[in-house]
Amino acid sequence: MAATALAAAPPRFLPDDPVRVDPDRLPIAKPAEVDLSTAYDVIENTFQHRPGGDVPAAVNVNTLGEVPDSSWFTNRIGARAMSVEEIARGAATVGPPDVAQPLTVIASKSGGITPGFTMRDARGNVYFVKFDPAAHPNLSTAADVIGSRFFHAFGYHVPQNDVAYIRREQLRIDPGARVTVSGGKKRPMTEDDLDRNLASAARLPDGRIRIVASLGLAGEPLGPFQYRGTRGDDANDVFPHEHRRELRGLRVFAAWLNHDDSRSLNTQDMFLAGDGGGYVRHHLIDFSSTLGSGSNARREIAPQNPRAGNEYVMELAPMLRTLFSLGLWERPWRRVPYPEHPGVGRIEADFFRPEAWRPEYPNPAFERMRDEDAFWAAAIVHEFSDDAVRAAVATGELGDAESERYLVDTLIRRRDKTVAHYFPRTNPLASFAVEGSALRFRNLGEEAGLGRAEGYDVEWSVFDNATGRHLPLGSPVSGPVSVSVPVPVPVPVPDHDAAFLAARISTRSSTCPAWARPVTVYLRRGAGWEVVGIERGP
Amino acid sequence: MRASVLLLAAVVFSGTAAAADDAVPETRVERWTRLRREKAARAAPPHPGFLERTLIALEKAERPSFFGFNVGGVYPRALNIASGSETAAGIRLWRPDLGRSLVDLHASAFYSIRGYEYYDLQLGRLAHRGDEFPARSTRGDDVYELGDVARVDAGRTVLYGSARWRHYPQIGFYGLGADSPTEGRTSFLSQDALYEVVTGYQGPRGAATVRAGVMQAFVGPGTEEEVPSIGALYDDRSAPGLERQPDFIHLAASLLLDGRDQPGNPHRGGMIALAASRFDERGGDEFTFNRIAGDARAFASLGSPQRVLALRALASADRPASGARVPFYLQEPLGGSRTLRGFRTFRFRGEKLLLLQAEYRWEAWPALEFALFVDAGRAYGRGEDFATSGLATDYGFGMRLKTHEAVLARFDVARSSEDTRYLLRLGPSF
Repeated sequence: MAATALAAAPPRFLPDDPVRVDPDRLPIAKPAEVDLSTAYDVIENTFQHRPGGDVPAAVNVNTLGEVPDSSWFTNRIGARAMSVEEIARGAATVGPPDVAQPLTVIASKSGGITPGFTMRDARGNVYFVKFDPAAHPNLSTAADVIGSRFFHAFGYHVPQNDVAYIRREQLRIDPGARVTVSGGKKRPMTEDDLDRNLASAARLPDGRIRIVASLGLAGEPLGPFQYRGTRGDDANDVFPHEHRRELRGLRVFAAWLNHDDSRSLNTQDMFLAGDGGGYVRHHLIDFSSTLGSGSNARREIAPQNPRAGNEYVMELAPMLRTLFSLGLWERPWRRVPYPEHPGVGRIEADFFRPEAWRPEYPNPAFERMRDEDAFWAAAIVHEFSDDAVRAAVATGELGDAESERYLVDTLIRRRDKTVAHYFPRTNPLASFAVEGSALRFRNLGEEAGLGRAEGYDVEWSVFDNATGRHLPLGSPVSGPVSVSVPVPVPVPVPDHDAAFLAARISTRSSTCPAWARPVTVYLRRGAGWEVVGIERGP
Repeated sequence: MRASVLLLAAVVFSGTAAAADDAVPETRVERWTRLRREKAARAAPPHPGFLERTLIALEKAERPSFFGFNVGGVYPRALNIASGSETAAGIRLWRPDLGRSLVDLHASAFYSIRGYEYYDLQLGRLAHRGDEFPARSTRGDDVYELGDVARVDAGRTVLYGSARWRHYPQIGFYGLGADSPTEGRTSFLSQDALYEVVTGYQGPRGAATVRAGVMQAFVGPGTEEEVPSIGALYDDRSAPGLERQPDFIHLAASLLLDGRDQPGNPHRGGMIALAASRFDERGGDEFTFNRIAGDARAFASLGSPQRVLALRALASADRPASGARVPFYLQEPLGGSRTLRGFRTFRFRGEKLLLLQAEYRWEAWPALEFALFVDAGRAYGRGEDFATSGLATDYGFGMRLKTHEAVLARFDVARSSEDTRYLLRLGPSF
């Protein structure tokens, strides 16, 4: 079939390219709910599904290399202006729970290491509730809230997470609330159960309990999604997850925020029913293992294990090096110092290397991240201003100015290291647009202060969309050197009556030789010239 | 997988469809929609395999762990009940805080593949932490086991009654003292019952106990087929108490001071255990004796938590009453997986005993530790004083599987002048 397609010399661009919205919400019957075994997920992803040989390019991108809006992702920061207020608001729809009224506990929490329960407020909104342990107030709840703000701004579907403060006396147990006891049996929840649940919770001096309230997601839960393959009974799910750019690029975001628990267990598919069927929306949930929050060896909430983010839970090479050196070789991350700030876990920026970062165990999508996937994600990271980071961190209500300052500074430094690593690996030109008779673009690398472009070599060609051939148009010309940042660089578009033109642009930079890797921009004639394709060549 | 992805990519990004006919979509959206319609025609729910289904079922059951499985507080278990017993299967009954009272109930029953039997019952306020099992005491007053007493965050008083019955049919005996030859290997049956009352204190940094009770003992022919029974080579002079085993009033006091960072998997700190006991023969004084013993262990991280130097010194001395003798079956042994690892279990016995151990441990992974070790020790015969000359030594290499809190299993290879031993055991060396 593919051979036939190639023989037919397919047009590169179709009339509706570049697609901005993936129509992956065709009505389907409700798929089956699935469960996930944590142990099996670790084993399977550690010993199977590792990439072998060349990794193919991401398959769900449009011709600009962008991720279209879909049931997985909504373009936000970078695709449009996002105010710091909007970033701080996150996925807010109905707001935090109404804690001025009685709250009804309707279920105990199952799974995960944090105690908690599900409650309904007086307005009828359902929230999943977790709290911090007495030994580490604010740690987990702050991370969960702040993390949700970042991942929402990145573009993922996430729940609305908010900090709230409740009193034990406010809590009523719904007659239908059940707890699961040993052996998987369920029985009605009692006041003792609730007291035990809350026994380890950190309390304020006035007795209130700080919680993270996660608003229940819309729709019917279907269980987690996997970072590989597709869901067999979801007809809209046609792109293998390990080849989705937003899941590959998630590695960059997860590294920035040290979301080492970025695995299937912390995802949730929801079925949104409608007339004649429904569709599945895919969410990331639970950000309590970000920003240095995590768990200790006893699986209690605590500052994250120093291994997290640095080594898989099972990784052969460091084991063998330690074994055969009789323990004299020591994992470098063991000696990383972490300053202690109330409410902030083990996160730092000096030792952090984005390319060396690891989740708890191999993630099939992360392992297939290519340079262009990483560039896409790093460009989003680059869009977070210092004020945006500050606004997101403030939502965690750490209650300690020094803690907040440390976390903000650390995230800004990790952001800069992320950008500094990925931008020099490719030609960091972006935001291509034709204005009047000029092709304009941004050099994100220059904007980030990573190097200076001494010039741009632009080769124009007429592009035959039917055959894919390029017909050179004159000789290479040199565009103007960027004179100020971030003023877009204008390159005159040749006066030609072709249907498609292509500009192959290399950036001359003595500080960043990799910027010479060409970016080819395709223009299509409509009412005027429009950018229809971007190709980041090797 | 890769081929299918390339095929998908070809279909998704090519401008023509599979065949150049009227059905060819004209737009990208139509193309993607066609892929979805094709998939809808063959949609099928996922079918996890057997292993995945099993693990899901176990995890959804929300059992704390495999080891937490029990029926009404009765837990199936497999463990070593004594040195040389090999693996025993059995059950432990554990009902802490009966009816929300301060009273705990513990009992166990085990039978090993070498025919060893062990039964015990404790009722009262036991030394334990939370819902965890109390430290299993197979010897009652033994200084070896004091290090296994769990620490608790808040101190608690201990007061309980205990009954224990043991049947060990293949205990090794080579004679007494350091010069006992390997050719003198025999076996005997040791059977005893101990009824006692125990009181004390269990705290965050140690424990102190006092116990008083009655011990009944019986020694008979060993059942090990490869070696002769004890009576074939020894008599009551060379094996005191072989002819007659009296009952004893047993009094003991022990103290544990524990500064280890994690008692079951220490990386730094130390502990010292001291025990003093009296075995007072009922109706006579031929076998009355006192014993004092100490067990000191130190752990130091060598520049990193992954490198640990572990040291241990253990000494025990029996002092018989005037004219009395110490029964051979109550004399402390050396040899086996927790003492002199390059020698057979119970290789040496004596009225005095000295053991020195050193291990260099390094973690290749938090759950996998390796060790180089050396052991030295000696059992001293009657009238001999402690001396560092004539120590039996061994050395070896070990591998351990562990959690943060405990060593689950270990495999040690130990070599001595007499033997090379391959030891697969549950629990730590020390």
